[in-house]
Amino acid sequence: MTTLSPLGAAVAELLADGTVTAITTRIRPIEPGALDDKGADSYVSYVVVSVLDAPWQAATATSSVTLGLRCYAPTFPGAEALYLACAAVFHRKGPRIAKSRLGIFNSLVTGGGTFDKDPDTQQPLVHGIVEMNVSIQATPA
Amino acid sequence: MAARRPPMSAATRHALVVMNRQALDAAVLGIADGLYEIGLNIAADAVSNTPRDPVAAAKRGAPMMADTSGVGVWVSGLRVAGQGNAPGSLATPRGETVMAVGFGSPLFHFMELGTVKEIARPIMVPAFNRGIKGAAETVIPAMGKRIKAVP
Repeated sequence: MTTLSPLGAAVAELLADGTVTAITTRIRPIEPGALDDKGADSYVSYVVVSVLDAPWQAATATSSVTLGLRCYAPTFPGAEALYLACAAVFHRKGPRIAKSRLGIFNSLVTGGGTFDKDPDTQQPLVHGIVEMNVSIQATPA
Repeated sequence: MAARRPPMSAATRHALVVMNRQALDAAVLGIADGLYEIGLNIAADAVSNTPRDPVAAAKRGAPMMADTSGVGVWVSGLRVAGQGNAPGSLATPRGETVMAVGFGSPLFHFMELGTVKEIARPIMVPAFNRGIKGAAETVIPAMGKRIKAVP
């Protein structure tokens, strides 16, 4: 059995969305990239996707994944626009198969949309929480 | 052939409605009791995994994050268990029973979701997922206890 990363699938879905990539192509798993963290005069837009929990279900070969999104931008309206674009990628989306052959049964935005500033850089950001139900093995081609 | 039951009198029907209404309220309060117990367990689980730094807390002049946990239960918008104020974003609609558990620290979500310099270190989401497993085994007995107490 091959287990596949839901984090990788989520990042790939964001990168495949034209509305998101029109704002930024800096979609980072777990932590920002080396050139993302800039000073106040040169903030850039980027998204960090983290897995908050991904327990495997006892009765089915599935996992209920909770993802955290942090959508950074130079301004609050920019961060909001980026968050809304990312949320639209996941909210109320039904069954699909990721490029990695991971089966995604459904996804839903269950929290977030709250404005904040990163405590380390003071950059505007909007948080998001996404729930996905995924398979724990590859879907045959 | 079994004898037909006589039609129920209006008084009997009324008494049954009153009794059922009491039982229904007891069922809702039983759900609230069960959810409160689950919330306390989730909070205890999260607190046990929350780092403690008394030196940093003393420096900030603020309580340690681990000491700011709280649980609350609302039925149709009315608090029935727990203390403190509901988070501003919490919806407690009419006809629904809502349990909320969290930390009162303004820094907690940065630890949970991460920052530019720190990766996400989730504590509450995994505690919640562990805590709600088997929720029926807690809520159903709590409902039964309340309903049995209805005269």
